[in-house]
Amino acid sequence: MRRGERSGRSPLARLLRDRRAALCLAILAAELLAVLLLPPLLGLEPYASDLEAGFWAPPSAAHPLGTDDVGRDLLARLVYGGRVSLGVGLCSAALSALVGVPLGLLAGYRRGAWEFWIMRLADVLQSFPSIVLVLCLVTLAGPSAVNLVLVLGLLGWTDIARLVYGNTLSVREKEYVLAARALGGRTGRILRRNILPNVISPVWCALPLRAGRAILSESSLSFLGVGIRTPQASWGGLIQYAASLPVLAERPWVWVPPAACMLLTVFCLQGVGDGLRDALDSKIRNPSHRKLNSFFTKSGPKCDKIN
Amino acid sequence: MKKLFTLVLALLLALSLAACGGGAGTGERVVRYGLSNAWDSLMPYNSPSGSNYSRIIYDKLYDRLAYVHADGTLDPRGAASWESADGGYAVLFHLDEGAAFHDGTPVTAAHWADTIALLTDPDCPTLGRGAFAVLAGTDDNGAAVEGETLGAEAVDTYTLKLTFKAPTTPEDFLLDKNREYYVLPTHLLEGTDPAELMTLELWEAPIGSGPCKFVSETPGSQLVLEANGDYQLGAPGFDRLVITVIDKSNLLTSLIAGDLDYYAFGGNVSVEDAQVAREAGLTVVEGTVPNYFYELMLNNETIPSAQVRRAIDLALDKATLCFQSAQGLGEPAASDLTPGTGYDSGLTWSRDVEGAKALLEQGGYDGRTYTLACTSTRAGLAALMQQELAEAGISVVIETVDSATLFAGMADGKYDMAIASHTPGALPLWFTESRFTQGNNIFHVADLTPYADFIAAIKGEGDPAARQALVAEFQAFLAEERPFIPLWFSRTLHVQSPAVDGIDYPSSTFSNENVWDWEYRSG
Repeated sequence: MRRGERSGRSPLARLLRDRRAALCLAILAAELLAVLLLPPLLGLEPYASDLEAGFWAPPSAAHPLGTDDVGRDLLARLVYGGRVSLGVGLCSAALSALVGVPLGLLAGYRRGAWEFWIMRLADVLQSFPSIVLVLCLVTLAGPSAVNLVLVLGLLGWTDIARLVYGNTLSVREKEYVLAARALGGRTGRILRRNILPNVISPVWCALPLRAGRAILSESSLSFLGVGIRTPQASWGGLIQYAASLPVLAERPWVWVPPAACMLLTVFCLQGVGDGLRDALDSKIRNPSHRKLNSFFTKSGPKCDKIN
Repeated sequence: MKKLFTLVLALLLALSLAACGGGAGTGERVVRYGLSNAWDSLMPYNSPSGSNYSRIIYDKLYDRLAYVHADGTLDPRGAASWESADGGYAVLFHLDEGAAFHDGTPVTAAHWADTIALLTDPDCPTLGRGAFAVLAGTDDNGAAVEGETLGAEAVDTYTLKLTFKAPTTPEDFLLDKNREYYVLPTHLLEGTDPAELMTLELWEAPIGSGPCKFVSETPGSQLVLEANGDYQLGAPGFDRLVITVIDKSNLLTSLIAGDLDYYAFGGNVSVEDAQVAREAGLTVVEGTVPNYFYELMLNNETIPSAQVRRAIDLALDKATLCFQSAQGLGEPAASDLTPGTGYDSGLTWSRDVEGAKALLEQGGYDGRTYTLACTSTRAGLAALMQQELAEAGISVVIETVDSATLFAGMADGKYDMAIASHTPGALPLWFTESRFTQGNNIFHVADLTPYADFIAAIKGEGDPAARQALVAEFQAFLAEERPFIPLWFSRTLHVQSPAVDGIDYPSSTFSNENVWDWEYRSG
């Protein structure tokens, strides 16, 4: 019997009952819809310069967010930049989970050499300053959205693997796992059927946070000029204009919208992560634990590990 | 107790205020000078980069023969005067008899001749030795050829004679090579093995004959110099010059905040930053001569058709590109000849997209996608070029790389085109001479012979009218072959120092600064 079934309400229903999480989810859904639907609906063109409007034109009816340094519409670039930033964030988080969950499961369940090599590799990767490592790899691989997803995703598995590994160590000693092994169950089946469902909850709440971090990393790399290939737009690339003193001081319409979008997105991803943690945590669902939970909930031990 | 505490506080406050004042409290006139990149050596012939950031340091510590103004005119410096000799094959430099090294030893023609002899010695690991390749008795790399007489001779105590392989006017030589010829204290180098020259302790606290003396160095970060009170052109009007490496983006803000008095080269600012500077109460003046030449480098091996190269030229809207980059401080160019120097190509430029399409068809353009390399600061410019080329049907992807990678990539043939800028010169071959040689065939031209022939003919022509005719012919040939695309010349804006008078801002761009005329006013 699953947790949701036990409490009579699914985790999704519990998540949606959490007002803050539901609001964050709604904002993220609206953002996704906007970046997908606005370009065809409004006929946005992010790469064409409007030389009549001029370079660095302030907001107008033709260009609601003004134009950039080569006369391109900033609204179009904000929307297309959102596709890139959200895409990189969500895809790299998914890739991190795809790599980190199996490795964490294997390290925690098989232990021995598996545990040694996987967790030591995680230690090594985590001992590097992450931004420097990402910067080097992206520079070597070349700037593109796909390379960013690969680098951020493949370097981000360590947090998730640690999370799964820690929980697997405890679950592998449970009676039902011992029983499955005693009955001759194969490792793959035990991992898939008996262990994974019981260790995956923290991963769900870690994923939005991972996506948020990936968006920030993408923005940092674009700010440093190694993120997305010119002339593609990304929120970080748009914020990069603020590195120029006149733009920072006199043209807030250039950098405030992408900065606000990024801030809002990361905040909402955090909110969804917190909501998922609450929805999947049995202690929080139990009224007798609520008081205690209110003390710990803002920095719950499981999700805190990946912050 | 309370009184004592107040007294201690007041004392501390007074001390901290005194510290904030820098040299002001001691009455010392300290000019705080910003540089956005570090020098790589204090020995002028041991600079791996050979960059202007190093040259501007050598300009202070060591003496050169002349001072080059932005408009191409020359003033005496180490040499008081000069004249042509031996039918144009030699130049006699009459040295300033008041010049002396920082240890008091007078600078003589023997110092200059010995310096050149030492640096052209094949055993000496000289960097930038190519500058001596113009002298008789040297090979193409500037190394002395055994058995031949080196073209650097002390005629008498204060007359230096330089003999060249080809006829060269004093002006041509100085405009081209002045910033690469320094006099070293050879009286301190007697008995030194040329192979060991670069490792001497002397270069850690160098003794030159320039307008400033060495005081201390924090490598890569700060250099403290003091005024040479005995400099032959006059003592600089300050006591100390503190050169600090500051990130380029912080130079103007540091000047506004009062942390700097001036920054190299000539306090250059963009049009946008100039507005910020003006609002902060600083004076901004427009440059008088072009400081930048922009070109689109082409890989003639991957773009082998001259028609396709000309089509790229016609497809680009240079006026828009120039406006985007220089914001009204530049003009589109049809050639690499610097405006205002007296040389004219007779060529004009206009955009013609339909003409570009026709040329593409003639040139057999197969629709392949070219790689356009640029630095991150020119990504917008590259995006604009991409759109303009697309209008003519030329497909381009942009690679944003750092400057070193860009030039290395062009040299290796990795990129098809790249945006680059240079400090223009007054000579007609300032750009082309070094780019059409076997050693630096950065455009990957298959046959350099016609280029080399034109260059040799122009260099050897002493008559101004005949030379102008040859220059125009060469430019017409370049326009036909289009191995690179001249884009525009632009001027810069200079933020005036709030604390130092007498700075020749435009000439700073040419790696020499008239510090002997500087006068520290106040903080």
